[in-house]
Amino acid sequence: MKELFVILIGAMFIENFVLSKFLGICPFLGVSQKTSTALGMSGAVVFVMTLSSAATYLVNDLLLKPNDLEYLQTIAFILVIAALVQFVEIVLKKLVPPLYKALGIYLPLITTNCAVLGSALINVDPERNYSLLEAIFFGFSAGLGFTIALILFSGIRERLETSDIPESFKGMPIALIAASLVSVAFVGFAGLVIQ
Amino acid sequence: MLKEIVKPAITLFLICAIITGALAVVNGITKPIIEESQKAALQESLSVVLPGADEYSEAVDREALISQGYEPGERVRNLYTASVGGDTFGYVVEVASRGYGGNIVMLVGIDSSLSITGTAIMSHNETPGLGSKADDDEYMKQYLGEIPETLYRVVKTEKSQDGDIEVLSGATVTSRAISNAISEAAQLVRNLMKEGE
Amino acid sequence: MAVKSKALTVLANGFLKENPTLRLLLGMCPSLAVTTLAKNGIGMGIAATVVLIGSNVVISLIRKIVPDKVRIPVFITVIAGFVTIVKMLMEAYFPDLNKQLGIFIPLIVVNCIILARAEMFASKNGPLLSALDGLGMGIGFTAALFVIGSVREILGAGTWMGITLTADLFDPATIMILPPGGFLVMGCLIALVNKLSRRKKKASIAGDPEKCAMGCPGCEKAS
Repeated sequence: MKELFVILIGAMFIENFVLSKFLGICPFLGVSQKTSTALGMSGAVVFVMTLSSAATYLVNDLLLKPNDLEYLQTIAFILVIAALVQFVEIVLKKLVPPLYKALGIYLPLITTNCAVLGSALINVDPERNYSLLEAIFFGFSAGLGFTIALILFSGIRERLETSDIPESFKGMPIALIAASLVSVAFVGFAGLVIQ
Repeated sequence: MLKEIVKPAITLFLICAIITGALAVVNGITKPIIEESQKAALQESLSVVLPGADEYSEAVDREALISQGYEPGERVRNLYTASVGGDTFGYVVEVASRGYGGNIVMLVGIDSSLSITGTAIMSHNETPGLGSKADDDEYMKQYLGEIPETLYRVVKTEKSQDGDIEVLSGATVTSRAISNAISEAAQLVRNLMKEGE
Repeated sequence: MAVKSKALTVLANGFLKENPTLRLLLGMCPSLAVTTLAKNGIGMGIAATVVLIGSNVVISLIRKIVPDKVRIPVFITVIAGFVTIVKMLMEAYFPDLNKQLGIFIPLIVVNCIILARAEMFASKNGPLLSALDGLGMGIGFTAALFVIGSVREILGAGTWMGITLTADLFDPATIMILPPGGFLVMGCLIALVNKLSRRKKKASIAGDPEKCAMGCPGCEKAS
């Protein structure tokens, strides 16, 4: 239980994927203009990251590792993730239409979200030595970390819309500078050592 | 209908197969080089932290140490025995300690008179500029020389006893992590030496 | 002559008009993550360039035999193959750089620049032009990473390409090589590019967020 708590706090705050590891910047900047879309995207990311953590961990543990094929990790993981995203899309469409309506348009964007492949690769890092349960939990927690960053940031973006900003800074530049300030807050978590 | 499904599937499969084959070939070429260069890098580091030996043993890992009846601290990872002409000359201990941003992995060289001959930080994720100052000689130099009875502790004030280590300003967590790891390495080698007598 | 000038246009395109990082805002993750040192920026840029050229050429060669249905999976497989090759070569010949760039080498697979060029250029043009397009885009990406890396290294570590500039007279602003500095430098550089390009002509503002930061599918739709 304690290990899981450490993973949760670690992935959400100390090594927040977006603000301290720079994973998943594209959706972070792309869909953060409204809190509602940010929520939809976050939901889809948490969902897919949890599932893909399980799938890629198993692929690595059962197929690649025993056969000494670890060099195929990148290619295997990205194909597993792409297939998984397609599969989730089909299943949601058939079985849970309301959820599909809420998350559907974000799903195709997730294959190329580096946070998903990133968490899969971090999970199999020998330095971490995660078990299957820990790996799944790490994927889930990292997704939550992504959610926190995205929601915080979308709140700021909504206010930026109405601010008076110098011409050259309009759009992405001011968004990046706002992101910089949000990430200053997360630097503070970096020293947290949980034992 | 059949053609519409089968043809793309076969194409995709063929392309995957070709690429996997190409990767296997490249892997066959690079794998020995990677292993060779890792080995060479390790040998090089070993001879830096404990100069003078003409042979360093293969790594003895934590599990093996425990099964031999030693009680390595939780930060100890591997032990290398250095020898000159077959006689034990000293030990190099690989330790990993949780610092400010993940594990700090270090090699600590200790000779048979229980003096630390050298240390090397192999990898770390400390804040660049602050914690990574630990790489500086000034801080690491404090550990060189005879291992004090009480091992090491990090102090923020004036040094008052043997084994006191002056903190790296602004990087207390990193300083402590390093000090704890080196203490465990020293403790392990001390036990090994006692055994040998 | 006409062919030659077209080739040049393709090559220059990636460097200036459609600079992938500072104009199209693609591949932001590595641009922010590995640019703590100018040297790392160059290393990352070159690794991505090799993958871009390789995957562009192969995709251009097989573009006629790949059924439309499996186009994207095939592209991703080809790109992932090249990324793995680059990763293995770096591990073998540049182990230190490989260690520094870490997870961002395998993550080149999901770098939007590469899939976007495969989809927008290589799948419609011949192998030679595609190679040039890859080279141009790669140089543009490398140059942008080098600039960001230089600014961050000089301000944050007081060094440039490993040479100390401050003469130890004052402590540099470490925050610039921490994550916040990455966002800050990137924002300011894009603003600068906006300003320069607007002076030339009333061009479209780079990094219209609606257009390009959605990731590759967003870009494909926009193009």
